[in-house]
Amino acid sequence: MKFIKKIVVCMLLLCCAFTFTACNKDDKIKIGILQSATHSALDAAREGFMKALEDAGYDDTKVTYDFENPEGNPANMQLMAKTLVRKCDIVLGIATDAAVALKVAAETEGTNIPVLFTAVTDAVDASLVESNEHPNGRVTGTSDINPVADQIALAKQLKQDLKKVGILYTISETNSKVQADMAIEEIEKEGLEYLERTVTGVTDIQQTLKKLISDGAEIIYIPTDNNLAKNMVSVCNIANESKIPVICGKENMVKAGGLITFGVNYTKLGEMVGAMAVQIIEGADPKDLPVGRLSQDECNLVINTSTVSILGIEIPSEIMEKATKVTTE
Amino acid sequence: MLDTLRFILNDALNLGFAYGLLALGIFISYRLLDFADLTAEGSFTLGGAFVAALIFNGANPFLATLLSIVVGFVAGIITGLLHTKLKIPSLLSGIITMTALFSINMILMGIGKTGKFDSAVYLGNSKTIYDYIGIFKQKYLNIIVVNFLVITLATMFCYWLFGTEFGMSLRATGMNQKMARAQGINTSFMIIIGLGISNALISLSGALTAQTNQSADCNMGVGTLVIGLASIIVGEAIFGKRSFLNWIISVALGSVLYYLIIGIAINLGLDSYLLKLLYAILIIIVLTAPFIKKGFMKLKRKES
Repeated sequence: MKFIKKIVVCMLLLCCAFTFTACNKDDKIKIGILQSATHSALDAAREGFMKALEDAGYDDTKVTYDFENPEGNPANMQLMAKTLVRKCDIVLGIATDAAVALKVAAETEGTNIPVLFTAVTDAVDASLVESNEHPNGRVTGTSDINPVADQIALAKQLKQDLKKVGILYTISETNSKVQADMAIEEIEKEGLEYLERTVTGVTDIQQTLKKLISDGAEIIYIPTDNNLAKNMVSVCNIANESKIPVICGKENMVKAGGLITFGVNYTKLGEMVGAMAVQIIEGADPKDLPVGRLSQDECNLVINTSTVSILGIEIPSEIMEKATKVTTE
Repeated sequence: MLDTLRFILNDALNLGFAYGLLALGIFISYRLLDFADLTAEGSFTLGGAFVAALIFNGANPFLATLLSIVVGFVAGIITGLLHTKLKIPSLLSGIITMTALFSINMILMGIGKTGKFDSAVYLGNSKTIYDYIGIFKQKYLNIIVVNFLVITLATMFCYWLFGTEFGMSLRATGMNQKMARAQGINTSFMIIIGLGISNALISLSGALTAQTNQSADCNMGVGTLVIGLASIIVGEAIFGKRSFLNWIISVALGSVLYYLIIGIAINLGLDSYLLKLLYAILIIIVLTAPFIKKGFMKLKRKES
C-alpha cells in the first residue's frame, strides 16, 4: 500500500513538472539538433546550419529549433536523441556519436523522419549510410573528411628535404584514426617515412610528443583531434621550442599556436547540410541526396605568423599569398 | 502532455532497467562488500565492446551476451586478486584494472577490421537480441520487456545468493572483515568472488546498452560510477531499505527513478547548459523527500 502511495506521489510530481512546460502546438517546422559536446568547430557547424536555413527563408516564423547537448555523456545522449526524434520533423546530429544516436533512436521508435548529420568523418564506417553516393535510407548529411593529401603535400612544400613525418593523435578518437590512416597512406605514397604515436588523454601528451621529436620527426601532423585541439597550447609550446613545425587538422588549432592548416571550414560544412535540410523540407528524399563534402576551394588555408617567426623558417611565397594569416591568441 | 509523460516513462524504464544491472553491481561492491571498486567504468565498456565485437563478426547475440557476463566476472576477479593477493589498496587495484581494460577494449573493438585497434564499433544492421524478440511491434517495447526480464532475474538471483551461507559470509566480510575472519570465513575469497559477481552484472549492463545503442564506444563507460551510485542513493531514499529484499529492489529500481528525473529535466525544454543544474536540484529534492516526510509526521504528531 505504502509502495503504491509512493508511486502516486512520484506521478504527481511528474505532472507538476509538466504544468511548467508550455505546450505550443503550431505548424512551424520543428528541427532538432543534437550536438555531442561544446566545441568551437561543432558550434560553427551548428551556426552554419541555422544560417543556411535562414538564408533560404526559413526564419523564426517558419521553424523552431530544439537544441540538446549531452556534453559527452553517452546515456543522456540516448535520452536526448529519443526525445528529439519524437518531437521533431527533422533532426540533425553534429559529430558521429550524436548522428548514430539519432539514427538508432529513429529506428527504435519506428519513426520515419529524416536524420541529417554533419562533422562525421566516415559515415559508411559508422553505418549511417550505405555508401556516400547513395545513402539509401532516411539518413544523409555532410562529412568533415579532411583534405589529408593536401595537408601532407603542405609538409613537403614547407621542407624540401623532408624524410620523417610524425603523426600524433588521441587513440580513443575514431575520426582521428581514420585521418591518421589516410595520412600514412599519403606519406608512403610520397616515399617518406612516418612515425605514428598516440596519446590516451591529457597527461601523456608531453612525454609522447617529446619522444616523437627525439625519435626524429621533422614535421608533426595532427588531425582534427578534439583532445589535442583542446591542449594545443601545450603541444605547440613543446613543438615550437624544438623548432618543429606542426601541421594541424583545423583552424582553431592554428590559432592556438600550430603552424599551418588546410582544413575544413565548419561553418561552410554546416551551411551545406543546412541547404540539404531546405531541399528535404521542400520535398526531396534524403536517399537521393549524396553525402556532401567540401571542395578544395571551400577549405581554408590558414597560417600562424607568430609561429612562423618563432620557428624562423622560410615559407614559400605561393603559400603565404593564398593563406589567411592569424596570430597566436 | 500525456504523450510526453508516457515517453518519459518509456525512456526511464528502457534505460533504467539496463542501468539497474549496473546499480546492482555497484551495490554489491560498494554497499555489501564495502569495497570502492573503480573497475566499473572499465567493465561496463568491456561488456559493450565485447558484445559489439562478437556481433560485428557474426556471432549469435544471445551467446555473446551470456559470454559478456563471463568476461565481466574475470575482470572483477582480477581486481580482487590484485587487492587480496598482491595487497594493492582497493581503490588502486580498481584503477589498475580499469586502465588495463581501456587497452583491451580497444583491441576487442578492432577485431575483424583492418587496423589493430579501433575506438568504436557500429553494428548497423547486424541483429541484436532485441531483434529476435518480437513480442511487440515497436522495438522500444521489446527492449523494455527484455531488460525487465533480465533485471528481474538478476535481482532474484542476488536475493537468493545473498541469503545462502556463502552470501551471508560475503556480507559479513563487508561489514566487519576482522570479525568475519575470526568466524572462519575466507575473506579474500569472498572479496574476489564478490567483485567478480559485481563486475559480471556491470558488464551485462554494458552489453545490453551497446545492443540498445547498436554501437559500442570506448567512452561509453564514462560516468557510469556516478550513475550507479546516484541510482542506489535515489532508490534507497525513495523506496527504503527496511529488509534486504526491499533494499535490493530499491537499488534495482533506483536507476529508473534517476532516469525519470533526467527525462523530466530534458523535457522541460531548458537550454542544455542549464540541465546539469536542474539535475542537481531535482536530485536534492528527491533525496530530501524522506526528511521532509519525517518533518511532516512530527508536525502531525504534535497537532494530535
